[in-house]
Amino acid sequence: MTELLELGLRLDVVFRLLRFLGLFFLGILVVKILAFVAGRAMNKRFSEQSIMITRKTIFYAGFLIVVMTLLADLGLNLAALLGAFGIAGIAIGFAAQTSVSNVISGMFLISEKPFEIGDIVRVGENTGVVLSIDLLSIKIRTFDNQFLRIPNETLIKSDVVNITRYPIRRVTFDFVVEYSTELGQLKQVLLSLAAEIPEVLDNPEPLFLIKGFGLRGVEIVFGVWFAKEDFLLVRNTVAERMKTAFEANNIQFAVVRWPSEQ
Amino acid sequence: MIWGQHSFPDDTLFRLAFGNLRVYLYRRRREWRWSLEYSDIPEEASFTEVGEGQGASLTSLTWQRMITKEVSEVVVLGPRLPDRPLSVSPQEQVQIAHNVQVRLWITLPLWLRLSCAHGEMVLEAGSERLSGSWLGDSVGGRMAYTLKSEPRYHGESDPIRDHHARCSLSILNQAVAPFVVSKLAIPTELLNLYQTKDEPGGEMYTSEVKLLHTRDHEISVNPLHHRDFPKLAPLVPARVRGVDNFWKRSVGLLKRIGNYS
Repeated sequence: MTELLELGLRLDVVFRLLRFLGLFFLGILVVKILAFVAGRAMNKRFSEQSIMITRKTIFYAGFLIVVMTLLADLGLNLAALLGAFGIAGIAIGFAAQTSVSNVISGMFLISEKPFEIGDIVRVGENTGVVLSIDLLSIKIRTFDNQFLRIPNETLIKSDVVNITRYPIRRVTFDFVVEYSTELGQLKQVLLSLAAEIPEVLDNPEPLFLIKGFGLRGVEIVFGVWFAKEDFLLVRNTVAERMKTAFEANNIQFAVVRWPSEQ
Repeated sequence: MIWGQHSFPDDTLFRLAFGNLRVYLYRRRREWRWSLEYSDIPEEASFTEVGEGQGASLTSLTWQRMITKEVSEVVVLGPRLPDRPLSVSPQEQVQIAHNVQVRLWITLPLWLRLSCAHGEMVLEAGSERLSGSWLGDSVGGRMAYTLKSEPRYHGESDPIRDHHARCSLSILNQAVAPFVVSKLAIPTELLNLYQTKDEPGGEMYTSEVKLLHTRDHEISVNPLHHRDFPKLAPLVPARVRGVDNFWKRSVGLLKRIGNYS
């Protein structure tokens, strides 16, 4: 009789465990489907970042509801459990100040929107494409294909340059030409070469600036505007044509001459 | 004239000339290959097969490839207007006095649309290579093309080529101060394209653009049907259509552009 009772109890435990696991995985599946459907419904009308935040919010909130419901179903006293979590939370909070700081910084980043997923940002010496913006950190893929994780707290404290925020950009060439260069001719050569590159915008007009008279020669700044996606093409084409045009017009870049070479 | 359907058999190289544009085109079943070039000298529009001897000299071309849904034994060529506004800066500024209406004509370069028999687009390219430009402020503005074409007072004063369309602009200045037209933005995506004669060689016209300049530099644009050809059906409808859409876009466009004066 006792053996039968023990067997019954064991079967009951196994049954409850199976029921718990089955409902847990089913619940998670439903939550994932809900998050997916919400993401699809937002597609095209909202930014990728908003979609990701919504999906994650739905998933984590759903996950919490599923776990709490199942624990209640198992007969656990949730009030006592939450009380214990509260006490533990204070202890964990002290131990996890950095994480909490990151979470709060993450919330500021999400609300401030200094960049979005897909933007190219420069943080310190690192530049790359934003892959995700999470509560603790952002993930970036650098141009040499490295995965970079930057804690949100660091981002809040750092200067972040969003390179692709505006549709058009300017690339600037700083160089020095020999004092013998005729500056009017130089300006004409530079403006002409810019006008011949279709990707260089006519408006805003190219920038030609005589920065100053340095030790090596006349310091020039030349900048051209372009649509942000044409960065590499414009930068390379302008540099290439500058060199060719300077050679054709006998304009000399001033080079640093070491004492031994003079 | 090259518009319409042309036989386009497999494994045969064709050359298409349209203004300054040269397209080399080749197809093997659903795979299309093409190469674009721009010449300094405009050429009369033509679509011709390239002989074996000529084809051998084209090895330096950079080819682009595309797979279409349908196997098309024909290629359909059609004219289009540019997909962005055109920014025109007159070499000599036009000043319009109070309550005076001026009509100006601008020659716009046409684009070429190349598609399969059932309309699947293969490529679109301009008959001239236009420089990029930006209209409006750096945040709210938009991309445009720069057009080096002088506005004229008469539509017939230049010998129009087959890769151009005429656009008429009526500018009425209702502000007290003279309106100095130093830059014009032609909203080409809102304009229909018309052909005056339904025959090869018929000249191309766009919808007429009406600009109303009022006080505080308010400018509104109304790309109306052409007043000279009111009953003509458009050969190619505007890229952006619909009354609501038109008003939203034209008003929004002009608010952002702010470059008309």
